[in-house]
Amino acid sequence: MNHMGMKNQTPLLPEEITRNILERLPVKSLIRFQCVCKHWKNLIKSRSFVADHLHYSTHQNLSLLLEENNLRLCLLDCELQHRIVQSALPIKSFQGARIVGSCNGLLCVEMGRDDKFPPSLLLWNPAHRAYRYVPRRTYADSDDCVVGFGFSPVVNDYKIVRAYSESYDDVVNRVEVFSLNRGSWKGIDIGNLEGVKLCHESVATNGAISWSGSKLGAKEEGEDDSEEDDYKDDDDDDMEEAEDETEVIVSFDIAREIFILMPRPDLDYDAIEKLAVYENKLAMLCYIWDEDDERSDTIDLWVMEKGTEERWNWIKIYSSNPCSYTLEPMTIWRNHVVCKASSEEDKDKGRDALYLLNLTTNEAKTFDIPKCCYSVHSMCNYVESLVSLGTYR
Amino acid sequence: MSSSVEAITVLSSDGDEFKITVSAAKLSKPLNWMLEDVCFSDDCDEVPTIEVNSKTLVKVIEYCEKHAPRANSGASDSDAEELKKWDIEFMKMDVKDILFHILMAANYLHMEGLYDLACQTAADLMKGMTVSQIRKIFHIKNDFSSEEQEQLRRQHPGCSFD
Repeated sequence: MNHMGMKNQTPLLPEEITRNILERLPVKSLIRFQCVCKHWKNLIKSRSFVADHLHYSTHQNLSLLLEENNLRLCLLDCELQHRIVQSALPIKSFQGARIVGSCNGLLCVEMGRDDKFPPSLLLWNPAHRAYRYVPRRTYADSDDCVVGFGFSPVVNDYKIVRAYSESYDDVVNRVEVFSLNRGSWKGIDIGNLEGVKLCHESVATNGAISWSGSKLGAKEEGEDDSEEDDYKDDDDDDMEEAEDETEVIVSFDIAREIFILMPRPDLDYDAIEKLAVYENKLAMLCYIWDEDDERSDTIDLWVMEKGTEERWNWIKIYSSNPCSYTLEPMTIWRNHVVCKASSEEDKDKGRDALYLLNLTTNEAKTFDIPKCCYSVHSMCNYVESLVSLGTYR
Repeated sequence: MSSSVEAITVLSSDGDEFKITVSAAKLSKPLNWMLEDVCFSDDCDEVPTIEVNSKTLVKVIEYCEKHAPRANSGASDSDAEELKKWDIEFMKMDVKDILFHILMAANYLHMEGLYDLACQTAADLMKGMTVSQIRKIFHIKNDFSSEEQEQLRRQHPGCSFD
């Protein structure tokens, strides 16, 4: 062997080490490096590599996606550096478009509702610069619909759920499910959704998509009626509706395609509630705003622990310190509650600041929302991935 | 018992002798097993060989000695910050020169921290490389036919073969 010739050469790495390095590369580089050789191309496209890359990125590079009106997006990485997401979609107008779900690097986008019903849906992998329209179906008898998007590792499939109602804020009367593996829509039995209204916002975790909602007419067995009546006397106007509406959380099991109704956390205070995800579990952020409550302006985090045999258990795992300004909890990201805040000074300047409340240390970190996303109205977790958009036509 | 000595002597694959403290050697699982199995004392003249060349072993030992105090006792946040900065400086090395040797040594010595750090460093360096540079350092031949290259270019406008 010619040792002189070896001098400036790298050693030949074992396959396992090469793979571990590639898992740490951004999607943009991996697309480029498919051109290295056939073996790398097949490796980068393989299901197991895509899954390992996603797993690594989710733990190391989970970003926060800030959304402004008309699908203007800004990405905040773990070092709190921001960059604008170039849509690169060949679409003329994003007027009224919004993200309905973010999962494993795929975004489900609902286009503007103005011109047609139901609005078109689009699946988009921004890192891969790939997109695909979801086929359309139309219904003459419906006027409103609620959408959710999620992934089930059990069936290894991404699904979109649409629950239709005759009009806005009305009970669900029809449900259909789109499967990315199947490439088509399918009507399903509304089952437990009989007499249920759904809120528009959804979250997805652990093979399920969840919404806040309310069930008409039914009252849970064993519920204490007298207490409800006492309450009613206190605050007649607000409780008028509560007489025949029970607030619930609706979860769609993506693998089994069935709906499950669950109770909300049993709060003994007035709060603004928002569904979120904490450590892959369904969670609820509760913002206490009642001025008469000594705990006003604090945020609680409740987490759903699933017990045996479909018994559900909400546990409060965090309470923030009271705060001197109004905080609006938006989502949970990397062990932080992300809040939008408006102090008087901010309002004068016409902008909002973001607050990150550390769930372990209770430390609050603040930073100005980047210029590119001043009027952010929603945010979600996002990770770059190689996940493909399927092969349906 | 291994506790009777504070440092042991090891041989590199080139036959050079190196000293490593016992607490630093514990960062590597195989070295730790060796410490438990073999009797090391002042009059022990056994010198184990580590299948890593001298140039690489110097760096690996430097890493171990720096990280050992923290690994053994835990550290405050400011220590962790300082160590992070040290790691960045430590990893300022060329792929051609030594990085891949460090990767293989960390893999062989089961040193998770150093392995992760070296993988990430390699990935960061690769981001800015052209496809032909990548082929060179990984010793890969372009095995695409010209038709296949054309097809890939169409599918991924960002693709480049040089």
